[in-house]
Parts: sequence; C-alpha cells; structure tokens
Amino acid sequence: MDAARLQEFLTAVEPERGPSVISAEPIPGGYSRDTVIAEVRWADGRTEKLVLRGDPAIEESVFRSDRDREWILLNALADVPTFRIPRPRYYDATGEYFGTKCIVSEAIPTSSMQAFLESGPDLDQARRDFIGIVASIHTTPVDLISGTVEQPPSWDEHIDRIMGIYDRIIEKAHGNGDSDPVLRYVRRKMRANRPPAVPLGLVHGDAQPGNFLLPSGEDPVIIDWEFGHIGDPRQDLGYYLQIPMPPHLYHPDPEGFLAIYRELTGYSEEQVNPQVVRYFMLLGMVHLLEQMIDAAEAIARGEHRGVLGPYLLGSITHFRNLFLGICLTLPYSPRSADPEVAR
Amino acid sequence: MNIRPTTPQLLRDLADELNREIMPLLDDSTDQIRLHMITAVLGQCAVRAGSEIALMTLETAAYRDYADAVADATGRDDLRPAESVPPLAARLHLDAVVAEYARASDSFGSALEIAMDAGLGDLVTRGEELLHTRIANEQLMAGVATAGR
Repeated sequence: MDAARLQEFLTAVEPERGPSVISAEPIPGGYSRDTVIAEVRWADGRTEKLVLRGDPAIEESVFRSDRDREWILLNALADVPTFRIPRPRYYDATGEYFGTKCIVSEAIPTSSMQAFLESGPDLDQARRDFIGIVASIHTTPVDLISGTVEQPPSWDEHIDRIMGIYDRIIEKAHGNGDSDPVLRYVRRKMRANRPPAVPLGLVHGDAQPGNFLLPSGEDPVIIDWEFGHIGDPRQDLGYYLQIPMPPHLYHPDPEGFLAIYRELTGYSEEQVNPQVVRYFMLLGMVHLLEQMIDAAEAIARGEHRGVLGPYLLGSITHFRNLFLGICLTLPYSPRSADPEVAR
Repeated sequence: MNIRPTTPQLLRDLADELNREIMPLLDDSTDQIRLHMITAVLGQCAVRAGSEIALMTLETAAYRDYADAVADATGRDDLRPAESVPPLAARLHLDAVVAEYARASDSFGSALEIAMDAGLGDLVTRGEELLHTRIANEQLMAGVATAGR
C-alpha cells in the first residue's frame, strides 16, 4: 500500500476527479492490520486525507479478520444516528491494486481518547464520556444494520458459537498431541455458569479509548471495526477489562462504572454487574486467544508468523491466567453453588 | 560437550549484542520495535532452555499423582496415565519430555473434570492448585508478571 498503488487505484475509481497522491506514509504500531495515511489533491485543487487499511502478508501476521465483512459493517454504520465513524470511501475487494484487500476511509485529523486520558484530565468526567461512547454503540438499533450485517439466530446460539471456540481450541490442541487442562477447566466452569440473556446488539470488538477519536468541538468518532459484529454487547465490557493502558476507567470503581452504563443502556443489575462482566472477558477475548494459539502451533509446524508469533507466547499465558482467575470464583456444579459467588 | 557458556548464557549474550550494537543502527521505529521483540523472545528462550525440562518433569509427576488420586476416589482406572519407562537417556530428550507432559496433562484435565462432576471438593481444590502451578511456571518461562486482576 504505497503512493504509486494508491494513485493507480484512485485514477481507476475516480477518473473524473483527477486525483494526485501527495503522500502515503505507514502508521507504525497496531498488531493486526497494515495502516497508511495518505494525502490526495483533486483536480479542483482541494486536498483530502485518507486512511488505508489492508491485511499484512499472511506469513507475517497473527491476527486475522475479514475485510469483506468489515467493509459491509462500515457501510451499514456510516449513517447510524448513535455515533460517527470515519466515512468509508473505497474498497479494493480483490487486492488488484494494493496487493491486498484494502479499505480506504476518510481520515480524522485528531488524537484518540487514550492520548487525552494520558494528558491528566478529570477522570470522573472522562469515565462518563467513555461509557457514553460505549453505550452509543450498544444502543444502536440492530434493525438499522441487520439488513446487511449477519445476525445470529438467537442469543443462546450466539453464546454457544463463542463457547464453541473453546471446544475448537481444545480439540485442535488434542489433534496436535497437546492438552491444555487450564482451558478445559475454564470451559467446564463457563458451561456451569451461563449469564442471563440480553437482546442482541452491536459489538465493537476492540472497544478501548485508543479507538475513540475526539475531534475538537465535534462528536467522538469510533474507529477500527475489524472485529465488529452483532452479538452480546457485554463482550465489549469484558474485553475492556484486560486493556492494559493506564489510566483504566473501570477497575478503580466497577460498581460506579456499571451503574452509569446501566443508566445509559437500560440493562438490569442482574444482566450487568461486575461478576457478569468478568464472565464476558472469557467470551470477549477468546477469539483473539485462539488466533494467538493458532500462530504458536504454526510456528511449531515450522511456519513463520513474523516476530509477533513468538512474542505473543507470553500473552497466551497472560490471558489463560486471567481466565483461570475468573473461573476460580465461579461454582463448578449446582451442589457447590454459592449464591454470593454465583450472583 | 562445551558447557561454558551454557545455552541460556549464549542466548543472553546474543540478545545483548543485538540491543547494544544493532539497535542504535536502526532509524525506523517499526524495525526498532521488531528488534525489541526479538531480543525479548531470546531472553525468554534463555529462561526456557535452563528450566523447561525440569519443570515439565515435576508437573508430569504431579499430574500422574492427581489422576491416580481421582481414579482411587471414583474407581475410574481409565484415568491412570499409561506408564512408559524408556531408558534414561531417551527419557531426557526434550521431545520425549514434551510428549510425556502432554499425556499427563490430558489425564490431569480429564481427572479434574471428573472430580468437578462428582463434587469431590478436596480434589477439585488440589487440581486448581496444580493449574495455578502450571500457569506460574509458564509465567516464569515467559518472563512475564501477570498477577491478574
């Protein structure tokens, strides 16, 4: 994804506007997708900044997601009334121009909420703002996007599908001559402690301050939808628990955080409380854990996954440790159920 | 065998060389991050090379004992891992240790599930302690401190 390829692409998709690419620079960081920021001058003299997101080479990547699904989701979300996203502009769906499937979106010239949090703001207000953005995702009417975005048949089937990832990880390990008693234990505890259902809703999949942009004087803009889907919105809450970048907006006061969230979303305390949110870390992270474990297995087979594959071995331990810690507090059978713990 | 330096010492020396001599030559921040990751992994490999056979052997024995205890409590003799006693030299090769560890882990995982299903509280607690030990050993190998939240 460089200036020459972008020039060729824009010339093909916008021949009437006379595009001229001024610059195209990679944005470093980010574990999953290759990202480039570009500036274009059109024939009428106006300039515009664009962001390009494409898949890294397969042998250099750990995390996988589907650009076709992301493009459909972005277009479904472009005009929802609850929040803003960078407007999706173009899609090289075959990789014909960029050498990889590539989504081109409007660039938002501003910094993220994470940068704002690191500047020492009033954290009570920042927490309320963060929860407000998360709630704006979760209260998006599903019928606005379900015409094009895949919707699970039911909440139960959705949860079964995620729990099926545990089955898949355990079976793959077994097939490779390995066995993970930690994840077997986690799976058993999860099945014995299914949380109460909520209506299906929009899930961001990587809801964290780094993906919320704060343009001055404008509404926030939510980026990075590669893992977005219709599912159980509490997956985003569980996912946020493990975000390591300080200052964390949940851990200092989980009850206070969730009281605001319930107020904004209408969920009940039975549906959203600290115990349930911890459970949803088990559901909100497992898709990424599977990809890290798959990468480790690929290395064991002699395939290359870039330096990220070996580097993330420690993360596999880290997440299994978090999962184990959550499940140790859950009852393992009806006869051992402690109402204070089960809640 | 050349035993000085040991494998961990060699790996640490190479990681130091990369950090000290190569890192300053890199201008690109992406390349710097990649090299940092590489030296971190080399450091983890140094720790693993020094301890992984010993730790897996200890865990394997604990998993076998646990599976036997659950088999004793439930009458499920199928939980007892098959004993394989190859010659000492073959037994100490990493591939053999890993294979034995995987077999014992599988027996342990099954035994713990059965203990949970049967409501054998003491054995469940003992199994949970073994899971803790397993993770603690992994953390030691990875050089990460993940106390959890």
